[in-house]
Amino acid sequence: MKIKFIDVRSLIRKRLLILIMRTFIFLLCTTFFGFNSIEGLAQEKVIINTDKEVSVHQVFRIIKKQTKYRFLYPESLFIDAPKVQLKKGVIELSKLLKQALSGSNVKFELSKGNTIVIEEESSFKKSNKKQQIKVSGAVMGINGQPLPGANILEKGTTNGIQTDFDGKFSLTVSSEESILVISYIGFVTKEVIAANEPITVTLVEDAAELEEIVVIGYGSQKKTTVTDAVSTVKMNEVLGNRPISDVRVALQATAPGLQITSNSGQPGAQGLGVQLRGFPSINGGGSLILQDNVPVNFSDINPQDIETITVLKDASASAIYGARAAFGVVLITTKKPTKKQKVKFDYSSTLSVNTAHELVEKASTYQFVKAMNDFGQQSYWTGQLIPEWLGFLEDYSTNPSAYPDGIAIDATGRNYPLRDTDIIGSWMGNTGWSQFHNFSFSGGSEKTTFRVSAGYSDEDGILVTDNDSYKKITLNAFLQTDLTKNLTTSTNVLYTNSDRNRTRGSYGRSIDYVPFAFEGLHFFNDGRSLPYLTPENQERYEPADNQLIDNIRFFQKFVYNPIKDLKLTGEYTFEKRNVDDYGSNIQQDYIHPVSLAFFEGDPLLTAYSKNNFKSIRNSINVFANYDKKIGKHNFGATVGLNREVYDAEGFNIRRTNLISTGLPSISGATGEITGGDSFSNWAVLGYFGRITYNYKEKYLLKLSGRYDGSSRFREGNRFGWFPSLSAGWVVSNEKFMNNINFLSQLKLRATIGEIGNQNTNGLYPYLPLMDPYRVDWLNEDSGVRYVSVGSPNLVSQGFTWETVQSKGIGIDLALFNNKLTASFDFFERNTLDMIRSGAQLPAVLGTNAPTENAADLQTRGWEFEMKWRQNVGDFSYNIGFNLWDNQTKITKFDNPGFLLNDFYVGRKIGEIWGYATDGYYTVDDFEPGTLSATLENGTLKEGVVSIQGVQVNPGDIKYKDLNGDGIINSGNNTLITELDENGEMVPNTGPGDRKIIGNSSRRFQFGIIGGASYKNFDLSFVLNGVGKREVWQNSGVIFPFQGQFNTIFKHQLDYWTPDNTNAYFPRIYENGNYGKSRRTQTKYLLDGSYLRIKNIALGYSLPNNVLEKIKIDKLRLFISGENLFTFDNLPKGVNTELQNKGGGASYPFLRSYNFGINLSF
Amino acid sequence: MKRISNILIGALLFFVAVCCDEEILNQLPEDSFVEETIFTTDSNFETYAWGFYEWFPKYSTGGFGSEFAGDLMSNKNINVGNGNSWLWQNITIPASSSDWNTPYSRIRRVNLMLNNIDSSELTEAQKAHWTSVGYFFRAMQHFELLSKYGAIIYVDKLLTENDEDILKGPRTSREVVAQNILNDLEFAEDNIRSNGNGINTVNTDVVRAFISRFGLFEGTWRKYHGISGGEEFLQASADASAKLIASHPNLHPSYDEVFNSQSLAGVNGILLHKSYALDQTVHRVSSFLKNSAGYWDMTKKAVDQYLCIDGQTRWTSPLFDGDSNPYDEFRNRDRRLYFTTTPPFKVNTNVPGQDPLKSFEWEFTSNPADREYIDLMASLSDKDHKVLPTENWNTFIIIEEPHFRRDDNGQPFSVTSTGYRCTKYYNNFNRGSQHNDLTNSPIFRMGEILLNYAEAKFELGQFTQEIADITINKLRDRGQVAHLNVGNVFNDPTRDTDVAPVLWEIRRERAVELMMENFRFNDLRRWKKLHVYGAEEKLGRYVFNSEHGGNLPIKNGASEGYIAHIGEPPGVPMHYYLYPIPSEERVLNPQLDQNPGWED
Repeated sequence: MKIKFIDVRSLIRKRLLILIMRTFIFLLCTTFFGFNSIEGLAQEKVIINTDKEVSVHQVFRIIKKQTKYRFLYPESLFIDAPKVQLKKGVIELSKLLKQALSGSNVKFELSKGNTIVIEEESSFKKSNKKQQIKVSGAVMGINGQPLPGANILEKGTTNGIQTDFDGKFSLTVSSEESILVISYIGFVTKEVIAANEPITVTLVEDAAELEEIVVIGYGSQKKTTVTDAVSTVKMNEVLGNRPISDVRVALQATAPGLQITSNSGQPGAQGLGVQLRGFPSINGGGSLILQDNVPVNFSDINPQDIETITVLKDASASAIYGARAAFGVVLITTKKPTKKQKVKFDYSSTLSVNTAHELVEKASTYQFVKAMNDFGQQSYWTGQLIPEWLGFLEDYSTNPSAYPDGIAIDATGRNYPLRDTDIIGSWMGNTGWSQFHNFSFSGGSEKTTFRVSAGYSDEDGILVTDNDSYKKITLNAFLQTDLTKNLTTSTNVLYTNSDRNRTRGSYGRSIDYVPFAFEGLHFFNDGRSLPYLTPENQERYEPADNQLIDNIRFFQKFVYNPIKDLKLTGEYTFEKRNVDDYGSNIQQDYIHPVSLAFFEGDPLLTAYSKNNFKSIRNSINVFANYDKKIGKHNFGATVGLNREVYDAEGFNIRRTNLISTGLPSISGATGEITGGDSFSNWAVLGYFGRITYNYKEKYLLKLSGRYDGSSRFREGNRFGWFPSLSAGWVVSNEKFMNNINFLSQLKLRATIGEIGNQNTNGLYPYLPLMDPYRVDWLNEDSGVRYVSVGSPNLVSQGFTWETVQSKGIGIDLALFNNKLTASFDFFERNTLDMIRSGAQLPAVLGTNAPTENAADLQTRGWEFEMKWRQNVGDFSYNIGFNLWDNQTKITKFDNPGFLLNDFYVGRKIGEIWGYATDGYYTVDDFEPGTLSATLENGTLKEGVVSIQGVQVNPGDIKYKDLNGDGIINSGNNTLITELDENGEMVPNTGPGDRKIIGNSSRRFQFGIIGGASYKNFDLSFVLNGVGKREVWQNSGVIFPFQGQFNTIFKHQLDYWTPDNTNAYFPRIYENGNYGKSRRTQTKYLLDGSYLRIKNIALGYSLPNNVLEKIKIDKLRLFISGENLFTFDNLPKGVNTELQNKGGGASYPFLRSYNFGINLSF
Repeated sequence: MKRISNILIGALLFFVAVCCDEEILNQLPEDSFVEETIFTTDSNFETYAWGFYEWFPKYSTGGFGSEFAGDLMSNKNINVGNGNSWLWQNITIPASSSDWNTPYSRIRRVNLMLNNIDSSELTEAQKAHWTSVGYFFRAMQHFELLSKYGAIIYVDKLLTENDEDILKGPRTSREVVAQNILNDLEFAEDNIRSNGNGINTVNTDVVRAFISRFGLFEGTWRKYHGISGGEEFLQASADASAKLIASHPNLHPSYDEVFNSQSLAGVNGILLHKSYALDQTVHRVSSFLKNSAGYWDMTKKAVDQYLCIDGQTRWTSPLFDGDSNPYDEFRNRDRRLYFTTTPPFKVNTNVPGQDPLKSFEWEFTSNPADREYIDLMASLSDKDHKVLPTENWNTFIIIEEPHFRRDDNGQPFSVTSTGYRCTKYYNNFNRGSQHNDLTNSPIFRMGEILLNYAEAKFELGQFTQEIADITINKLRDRGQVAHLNVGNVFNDPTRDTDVAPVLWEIRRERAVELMMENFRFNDLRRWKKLHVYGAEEKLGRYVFNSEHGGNLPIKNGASEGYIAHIGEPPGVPMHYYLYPIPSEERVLNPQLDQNPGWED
């Protein structure tokens, strides 16, 4: 080889040149890892004096003169190169070079010292062909953290390996000049030249990960070519080490359009709702949750085993899953091991301290008794006289030592409790401790990989005792082996075991009990004692009911590549679930904490019960994927079938009269045994197919369809065909977009599709079934209730699938080197032919009208998502924001009378009908002199609106007379007010004086997720919220003192009295109209919007140099807080997201502070 | 390698073929039945028919609502605008109502059975029996509707959504509906098995008892509301009653135990009753009389209905000692009064050394007057029933009766507003436990039949001393009241002058015997007296307010007098005799007329 140094003349000899050449390559591989592309030269300009034709060497000489660049290339390289035509003027250096080299088969790169290295394409391969070398090195991120599992591939070959846990690798390549392609998910792929010396490769994170592979139904697709509305959530970004045992909690706020609601903070996360893109159907229906293409319970999966969650939102995306996927699909992808990976152990542990996020606070005893006095009560139902009581309380406040027991006794022996107690606080105000442990090991050889993980969580909530605890164990074993060169098998066994306790305390009592209700034990004169019947004591003295769930899931998969590009897959899933519920009734003796009445348990009523439910799911998927690239045309095709059979069976048994309440069992009881059983089974069978095509990844097209059968319909109406289509245009791949440098990607998408919804009321809706039941009439001989069978519903013959049509358009954007990505989707979804009772029929029929495919609804909405990600030196940060909204209205419904108790065309889901509040009735509204001394039973003045059926009094809520008839009523409960021939309102028609005053659907939901890291520190946060929502509640937490057994809360003290006529709450009086003042109305509608800081976490990873000494790869410590703050417009302790568990009480969200470690070795 | 491929592909094809078997989509329920499997044998019909028995009324705490809309009882919500909606003219037209809907769904359930009798395996006799059972229960439901709404849509076949001529058709006239009900019942009387389906089931006697009730209702309704044809129904009632009286000559000797027995099976005078058993079905009517939830009160007028033991009214009897003192008021009265409201007493519960957990003890006060009725009831009753002093559910001894809500001695349970707590269902079987009452409730009893017979016979102009002796006087015997002498009726100065003296005594007997059994409201309706008696003020006991801390509301605000809570009600307008048809039903069926007077 001859090498010539331009401008250095021939001062140096051949041998020396070879040495330099080698040195150069060495330097290139060790130091100059970052070749810049030619674009780096774009700023440099070169001036050409005149038009001329020159050799390539001469071009280099011109450049050398005018710039700081020098050139390094073999002398012979341009011997045959054509002359270069130069035009007078200023030209960019890069363009000049391109022009000069366009006639030669060479490539050039800018190296250190402004040296431009030029070489013959593939020259590296030609030389030293036989000389294999072993390359070793390490791959790390920009902060120096090792990247385990990064792929190292010798370019142009299948020779490759993955980095071990330290990010280190060692690979034998064919020559010193081999190029190594180093890739790692989420990082920009890099190529380096092999070398004999150890090399260190630093990868830079890929801001937008545009090359990401997205899991779609029965296959995967490059994200750049996806045409549907799809969101992907990476669990490590949203879960971290949050103290979460159910993945749904972690998904909240992460994917626009995916509404995750939680109505309780109780450990074990029951009451979680998942709804994708709004209200599905009046018959219900939800998103299909799949693991390995087969439905799965969210609660059976350890969140730490999940790699990604993909949300397929529109029909086009989910159509391939058929009947149950009408309202979107959530695909769960678990973590998988990689080949050639040394065994790696991971352990993480989190310890949490839980307290109630917020509790309602009761008014004080004094405030309560004063309110009784204000309400005109003379005595309390337990016998106390209110004025005397008030006197005692006033004395008690100044002289508490006079009442050492906190009780006053009057001359007749009546007791007056004076001391404030805290029924809610002593039940719910406790601190709970939770712990979460996860351990996994994984590894892989050439052909076999495995990953085994175990998770354990033990959560205890805020109630006294552990009656609100939840324990879960998950085991997950994955094994994959290449049986032959083209046959791979994988096996996954998943076992979940959970143990959930059921709380005993009465939520209703916690709310209803007055602030002086006694707590703890009641001591009798003779020294004996009994517990007061408080929620706290119920927890303490009654054993918790208990639910045990065992779930085993076995998954077997074969992938067979008979020929190139064709992949045949067979999947089989077997799942067996066993749920056992144990309950007992021990008839504990109590003392009523207010009346001091004695509640004696009845031994005859003690009982023990067991319920068992077991189900078996057998699923088979067989499908073929074929992908072919012909020139610039990329084809993909998938065909397959899905078959699923579900069988479930339950039985229950109960026996009364326990021998010992301490050891409850069926055998240990002597009373009546009762029992029953239940069965349910269904099956689906579907054939599906999909074709994808794209041209140069610029014009994208996807067609899919499924022919689906369900056991829920009569033979003949069983199958449905549901096609879908989507298309995309990657505008940024067009030539005319090349000059827009800040734009990395711009894609427009459109989809249209149709899916069936098999959701029906019951599993056999086409059969007029008569179910057995026990009637309320005794067999005189046996003393046991008779069994009868129920009457069947009317069933029509013809109904079949509901059809869900969805249309959507979307845009994906990536800007500023993929630092900013954004997408926006708009959709319209029509749920057609919803199965419901046909037109409402007169009650004379005696049953509901038979079901038909009779109703339609439409949901429209949009979703916006934006992410920003940037690295600045050691500091990197990212922030994501999403905002979305949708609304649903009825578009077809057979309700010709527009009855408000049913749906009607135009009705929006969530509508709240109510009265418009118009202040209070005042004394001035009544004829003077007609009101009694207690301001009752007066005569309303002419023209003052009255309430039908109510004798109103001052202080009662006045409603607006919306229909102008002078009287408040609910009309005939229809939408439309009838008019007579004169255009006058027909009395008592229409909605009366009610109107739509709000909507309980959640609107403008949003999530904000962010993270930052600096050196060894990392920080992350999750926020979510609802922008608009109205909620109507008529409970003791909202309205004070709804009855004699109710109480008053701190936020309820502003009530109407003759001296406080501008109060927030209406007049409350014994036997008064208070109930009529609480009709659904504008004034007391709750604002359900909120912003919640769900999680903030701060972590610190110990530096590598410290860890190396103790042979640990990674050790991270973190602290975090869950549910730290909520911003809303509600009274303290009131939360419209929570379920009313009685009296307006709810189990609050938990605020937890967490501490933990991650350890890898 | 090649071989493996072939095997694999072969296996795959076989597998796909197996998977494609659509037979898996035939999933059938394993625990439900369809008509064809149910309506086959006699015992299957019996199984289906047990579902009808749930429709009989049971003891329920909410079940006395109609009594409070009458004139003899009140509950705690005795204020304007709350409760007592009928009397205070606060009834609004409901959007929908279970009064209308429930009978129709039950009629459907019966018609489904009737529809399947012909195609069953039953013998002719069995077919006749099950048709009778169906007719009986269907007639009961049609009567429910007729009684409330007058003309209704009559349904005697299994309807489908296509039967628009009925579903959206006009109402069937009262005359046709009533005739159909009577026809159904007469068929049932002739064809039902005389012993029904065993103990305590619908049999010939039960059918007759219902004819007795229905015939009297329809016959008197027609008479007093000016509709012709009532005599046929009165005669049917009288005939059915007469047969029952012949076959059931004896009554249970204890009035109290008719309502407070752990078992009524085989008891004299009980034609059908509802049984209760722990962990099967229980009620809480007795519990409610022993806690703070009850407030079922009789009015002064109700108590005044009870005669003195000489058979004279309290206004006329020399045995009556006045009503300004509770002890005087109760002296020498019909014994049924003592079993219906608690006689007055006072005890001392401040007994040293008693067990604080359970049996609170008591002792007599120093005033001998306070023990008069304690001693009397000890001779009339026993510890499980109505001995005094009364207890609350928790065996706390009530210090005194009357025990006013607004002067409760620190005992907020077992209180009364009027001073006459209706304790007809009070007993002490289930001490220390709440809401697990097992006392059987009578559904059809001879006490009612005797009254139906007396009234029907009177309305037919056939009432005689002989009839009085087998009806009214048998009932009076249980109250230890002197017999009614048809030829010499004591004059009641409070008698409604529209009502003949003998009929007045028949009606009095009915009011007394059937107190708080949900008859009075319908009685007033069929007699067309609701607008008259319903407009009377509901008063309570005569009290001296100074003895009650001035807490009791007394008529005209006086310091002594009759308790008066809310004044005189305006009385019902005439259109209140029929219920309003729910508005949604009229939207769905434009041919369904509203009852007159309810349109505006």
